[in-house]
Amino acid sequence: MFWLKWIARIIKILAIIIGIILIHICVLDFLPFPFNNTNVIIAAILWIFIFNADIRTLFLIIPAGFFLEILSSTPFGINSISLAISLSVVGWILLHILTNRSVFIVFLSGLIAVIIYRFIFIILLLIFGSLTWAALWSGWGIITNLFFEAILTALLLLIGYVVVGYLVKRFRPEYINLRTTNNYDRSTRHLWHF
Amino acid sequence: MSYLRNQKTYLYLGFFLLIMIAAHYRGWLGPLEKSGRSLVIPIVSRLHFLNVQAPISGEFTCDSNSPSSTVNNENKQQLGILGARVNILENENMELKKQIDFKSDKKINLVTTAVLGRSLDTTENTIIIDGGESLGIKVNQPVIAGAGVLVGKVVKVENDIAIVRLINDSLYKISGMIINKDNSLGTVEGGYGLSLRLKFIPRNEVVRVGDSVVTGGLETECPKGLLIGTVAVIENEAYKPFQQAVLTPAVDLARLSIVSVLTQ
Repeated sequence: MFWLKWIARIIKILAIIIGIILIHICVLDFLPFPFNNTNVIIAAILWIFIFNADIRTLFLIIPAGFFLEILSSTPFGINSISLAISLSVVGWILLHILTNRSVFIVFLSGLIAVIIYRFIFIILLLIFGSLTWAALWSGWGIITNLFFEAILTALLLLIGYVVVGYLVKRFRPEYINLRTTNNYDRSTRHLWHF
Repeated sequence: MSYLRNQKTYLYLGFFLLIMIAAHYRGWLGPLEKSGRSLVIPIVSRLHFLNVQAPISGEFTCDSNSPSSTVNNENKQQLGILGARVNILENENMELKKQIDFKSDKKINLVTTAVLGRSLDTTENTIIIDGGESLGIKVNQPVIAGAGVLVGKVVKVENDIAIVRLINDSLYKISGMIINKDNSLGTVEGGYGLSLRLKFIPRNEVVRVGDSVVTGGLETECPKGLLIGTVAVIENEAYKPFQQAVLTPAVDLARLSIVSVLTQ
């Protein structure tokens, strides 16, 4: 029984990751520049983390990183390490410093995650010799792409947060009861600050 | 308690990542990587095919409000699908013919492969091709489409696939030569969406819109004379030592279906 539960959990995680990668590929393939710079993988993992408020969500980085590594042009490990460090830092910030879940904090967390991710990514590429300082500073291409990626990923996260937040408020029985009976007490106050 | 659990999660995460990376470099992850690719590449390939395929022409579309029977509508839909398939096959056939002509003209070794799709890098313009070390493909070899149009170079090779950095990627740079009176030389750079830039063209040389740009041949891996694109805009500012040109690539880099690697 215990093993069945674990197998079901692994299948669920794999299905989530393949779903995220499918959306990521669709965004890359079908959207025009600069919208195809949106990093769906970071936005999705961060979105799940914000809604679950569970640190174990970060384990999604391992399968996501693995699929990124096997279909990317960079040396193996760079994507996973950058993803793990950036999302761990943002996760820690969200759990210990920016504990408010306003739209500004959600947008900011998306921005910070992408900026840290790309910063570590570029540093590791420089260390591994896959990128040179000359190539990095010779044009604005990398900086422009980073700017678009950060803004668009944060926007996607924000839209996901607002839309799902609205749907949760609209259809979850706790909220419906609160609205209809005006039964507002201390035990359910946290629900109103979603 | 929660603090301790968080610390443990970070530690386990780091530990598992290190194990994964070490296992890759020791070669233990090979079968898992192969299974992962065989799981994801069909999806990537299918989505890329949907993106590349030509739109169905007007004559094959059917009007659902017409009084004709459902069977007739279904037949029209089938015809539409078949028409689109014929269109795709015609395009592929033309592309292959161009590449065969180029190969016989230049007497060079080409490995022709299908494009499986885009790689998962967000900010990089790279594609995955259906051929790797087993076909003799190596890193830095140039990749062409059609009758000698440069589309990129190989940056990573596995046994069964290779990853190609396209010429419109921000990390791609190559010497380019304008086909004009002076044969002006410059550096072709990507990173500007769909267009390219030819930089460092001497200011005194005359460049016109519509001039073709080919590879300059300054790199050992890439032969001279492969078509890159045409000049679309010229930027010649009085206070700058060089002029630059915005180029339109000779092929649509987002809709590549068949490419060839120049294996020399």
